Amino acid sequence: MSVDDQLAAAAAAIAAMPEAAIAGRLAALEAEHRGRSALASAQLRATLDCLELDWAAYELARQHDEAGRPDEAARWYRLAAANDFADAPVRLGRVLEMLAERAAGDRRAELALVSEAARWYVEAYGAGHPEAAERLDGMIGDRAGRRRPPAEPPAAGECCERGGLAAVLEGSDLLTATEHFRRCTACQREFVSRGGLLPDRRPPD
Amino acid sequence: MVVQAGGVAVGQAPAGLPDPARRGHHARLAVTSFPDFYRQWWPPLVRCLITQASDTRWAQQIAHNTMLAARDNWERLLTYERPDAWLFKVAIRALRRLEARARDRGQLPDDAGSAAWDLGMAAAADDWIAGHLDIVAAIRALPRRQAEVMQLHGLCRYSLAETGEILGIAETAASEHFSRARTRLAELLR
Repeated sequence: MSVDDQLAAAAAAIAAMPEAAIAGRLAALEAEHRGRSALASAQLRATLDCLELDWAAYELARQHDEAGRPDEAARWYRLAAANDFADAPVRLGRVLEMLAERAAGDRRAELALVSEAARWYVEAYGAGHPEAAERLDGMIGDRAGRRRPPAEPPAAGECCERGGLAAVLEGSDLLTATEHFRRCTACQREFVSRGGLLPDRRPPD
Repeated sequence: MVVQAGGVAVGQAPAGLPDPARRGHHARLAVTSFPDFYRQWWPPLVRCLITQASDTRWAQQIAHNTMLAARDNWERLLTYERPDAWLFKVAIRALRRLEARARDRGQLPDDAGSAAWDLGMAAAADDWIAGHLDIVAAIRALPRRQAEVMQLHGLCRYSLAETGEILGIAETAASEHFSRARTRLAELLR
């Protein structure tokens, strides 16, 4: 049986239910409708109003977004996205990414915005927006490419008196090498320039 | 006795929803009382929510509250072009909110064991779920937006434009979600 056949079979029967099952529920609902307290009625009305607010927040956010006001758009998308409204999470991620671009000079603000954008892209992906994963990849890739280039390895003249990290590791035991490393800024710079990796050890003769 | 869409008793024959092209007209003019409306729309509403929810009790509670709200606003609802669409719009948004809160608090049952147990309970209480367990389980495994579109367009036979309207997304987005959902369902049901 194909998917379409299974869907058609399920759709054809979805409205059929034994009368007894419906009648009991209907009677209970009518009784609740008549006997509810004013507070319970007000709570239900408030719940309905909240659902309308999600829609209103989303529409407002879209208008700000289209008018080029990402700060305001993000503010309203946050409200809609928190309640999983439509595609608000993916739109919020995109607006936050835009704000992170603008905050490029302020590392702390940029990081906070990128982190929040990543959170909403993940949320959107889980809700069924595969494009959110692509945007997340792109955002992380852009930022990785923009990182400061690794420090230049120290020039020959800058090497420490023991000839650099490789020589220190080869020529001493671990405790001595560690003690030297704590004091020698040239070795520390070399370590950073290697991306935090130690030089290969010379193969034994 | 089984009640068909529209409140007509037809024995045990399977009952579908009204022709989509006539559904708004049908809902407004043929259903003149709240009990008729309830009989017509309770089964598809609660089953659609169960097909999407992580917890069947939440689906039943939201379907009940939505019908209660419809009862409270019945006179106003009769003036709507699509009172049935209002039901689905309200119920799906309420379920989204509830599950979003539960996800934030880490209270959403998301392991396979809980899901299977919950579906088993739902099937024990409803013959339609029991009779279409494979497709219901597969739709539950879809991402949320795809499951919503699959329920409305695939099971309740709303058009893609109507589905988009109910979910607050564009028709093209509804179409994309449906296409992805159908592909995924074919993989899951293979």
